[in-house]
Order: sequence, then C-alpha cells, then structure tokens
Amino acid sequence: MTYAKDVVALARKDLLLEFRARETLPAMLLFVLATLVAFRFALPADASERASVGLLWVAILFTALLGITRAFIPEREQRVLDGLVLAPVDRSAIWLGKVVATLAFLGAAELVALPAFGLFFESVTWSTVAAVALADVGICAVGAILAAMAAAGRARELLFPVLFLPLSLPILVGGVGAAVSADPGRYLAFLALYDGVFAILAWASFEYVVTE
Amino acid sequence: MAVAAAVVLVAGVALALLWAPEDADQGPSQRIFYLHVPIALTAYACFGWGAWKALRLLWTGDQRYDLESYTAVHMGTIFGTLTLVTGSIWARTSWGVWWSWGERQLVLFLILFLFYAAYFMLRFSLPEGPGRARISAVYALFGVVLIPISFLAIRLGEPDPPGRIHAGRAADVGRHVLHVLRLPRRHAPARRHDVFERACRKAPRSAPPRPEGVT
Repeated sequence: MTYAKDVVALARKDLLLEFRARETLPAMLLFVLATLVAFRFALPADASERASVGLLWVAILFTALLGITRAFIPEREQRVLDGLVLAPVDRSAIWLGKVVATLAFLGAAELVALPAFGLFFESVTWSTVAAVALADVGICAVGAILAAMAAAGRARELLFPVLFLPLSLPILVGGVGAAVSADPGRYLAFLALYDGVFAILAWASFEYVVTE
Repeated sequence: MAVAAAVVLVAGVALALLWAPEDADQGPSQRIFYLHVPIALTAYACFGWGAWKALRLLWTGDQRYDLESYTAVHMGTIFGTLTLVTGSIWARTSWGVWWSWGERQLVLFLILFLFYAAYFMLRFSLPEGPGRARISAVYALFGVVLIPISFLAIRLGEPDPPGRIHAGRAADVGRHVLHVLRLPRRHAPARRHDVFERACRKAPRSAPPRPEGVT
C-alpha cells in the first residue's frame, strides 16, 4: 500500500504543477488540433480511410512526444530528482508516478483529438478507442523511462524523439491495424503484449537510469 | 584465432562463389545469400551479446562490461548496416526494386538500425562514468526486446513479400501472383511472367487461371 501511496503522491505532484503552471496540457491540446487540421490539407480529397487513420496515429504519437519530452527536465534542472532518489521510496515508483501523470495528459489530449478526428475525417470506432487506450499505456511506459534517459544527457529535447520513435513503431502497427482491420482482436492483443513486456522492463530497470 | 577466422571466411566465400551450384530460378544473384544470411545472423548475435553484457553490468556493477557491451552493439550495428546493403542489392536483382516493405527481415533491420543509431547518440550525449554505463545498458536491453516485438509487428502489419511462393495451395499461389501484379510498372512485366510461371510449376494440380495483364 505504501508503494501505491508513493505513486499517487508523485503523480499528484506532477498534476498539481501542471494545474498551476498550465504549460504542457494546453500545448498538447493545441498541437493535436493543429496537426489534424494540417493533415486535412495534406491529404488528397480522395484519400482512403486507411490513410486518415494512419495520420490520426501519427498525430497521437507526436502529441505524446510533445508532452513526454519535458517530463523529467524540471526534475533534472531543479535537482528534484536527487531528492526523489534519496527519498525512502522504491525508485520504480518515480517512474510509475510519471507514467500516471503523462497518461492523464495524453488521455486529456485524446478526449479532444478523437472527436476532432471524427468531425474532420471518419467516425471513430470502438476498436480505435480500445487501441488508443492500450497504446497510451505503452507510449507512457516507454516514454517515461526514455525521457529520464534523455534528460540525463546534453541534447535532452533533441534526443528523446530519436530514442522514442524506433520503439514506438510496433505501437503504430498495432494501432492502425486495430482501426482498419476486420479482425482487430489480434492487433489489440499485440498492443497489450507490447504494454506488458515494455512496462515490466521499464519498471525493473528504471532504478539504474536515475541512480548516480 | 584471427588467422583461423580469416581462413574460414575466405574459404566460405570461395565455396559460395565457385563451388555451390547455381540456383535454377534466381541465377547467380542468389549467391549473395551466402553473405547476407550469415551477416544478419552475426548482427543478431552481436545485439544479443551486447544485451547480455549490459545485463551483467547491471547485475554485478563491474564497469568492464560497459565496454564489452558497447563493442558488441557497435559490431552489431556495422553488420546490421551490411545486412541492409546486401538485402537491398538482392531485392534489386530479384524484384527490380532497391527496397521492398514486404521483406520482413529488411524492414526489421531498418528499425534496428534506427534504434541502435539512437543508442550511439544517447551514449555520446551522456557524461562519461558509471551513469552513462548504466543508462546505455538499459537501452541495449530495450533493443534486444524490441527485436521479437518488431518482428511480430511486421508480420502482423505487412503482406508477404513479392515472389515468395509457397507451393501446393492454389489459393496461395493466386494471392502471390496478385501481389506481384501490384509491383511498379517499370520493372513488372518480365517479373510477372517469371513469378507466374514459377507459381504454376510449383502448384502441382490446380494452378489458378492466368490473370489479365500477364503476358
């Protein structure tokens, strides 16, 4: 129970900071809307549904990039991470707290993105919503640990997308497949597998990323 | 050891080029497989070895594993790049295109190339020391997990490559012929004929009717 309390406290800290500063979430909301509008003009008039669904996933991925890139930078810049590492909490709770917070930001951005996609392009199916929910877990689980790695380096914001995009390609395959396939079940199962495997790996290895 | 490796390597290449019989369907271009496949297997082995050394580093904290892991990943990236180059040459000679998204191994190596190129960016962005060793090790572990996950994703998301014929089922043969018909027009006519004829030869009894547009 202590572990869960730690995770909730750490996630609450991020949400409270965001509630006061209002930096990340408005940027994500505006970015995802602007991206969908840009894609509307980039697509030819007779583009297939598959093409527009693919663009939805690219928009989600880039919005996640925008939100997660700075996830650990305040902690590094203000040396909060040193305090968190020294605190009597399991180090993986720091990762899980960040996953919960970024998941909340990304979920809020998608609450706007999915209706906007339905308005501008095609109606959103239940399989797409399920795929987005599963993909969010994978994106935030992998994104949180990679953001911690990138924040330790010199390049930071430049480094994170380069680290993250190759790892997110399986999510794109699963997400687009679940949205356009007649049999979305196997794609959703694949997304769940991705979430499970990478979440366990990130949970187990996060300690080594933040300890000095 | 190095001398033995050089001798075996030269002997292997000589056997592949001079002794091995020529493939009836693909001709001399098939011989690139004697290089392409071992290079790809070596790349996998290097990535696996790098991840194993990374795990040893995290487990024991012994810093010498950092250099061993880095060296293995470095070698794996070189062999992975060579796999991309040889695979691309084979795609050109076999299908008339330098790149095919239908060839799973090539696509997988492209993803791995992007991933391990980022490994070097990460490593050289971090200040030297135990922190860099640990973060690089964790990233190398992610890489070895990404290999099967990406392979699964590619199998889920892609059709079979053009020209890969499974004999015995007419439905399969028809599907592959239809796939070949979707190749770009500039190189398609001769290939269509080859693949269709091969498909008909390999399908024992119930070959599909010749589709329209095949000359």
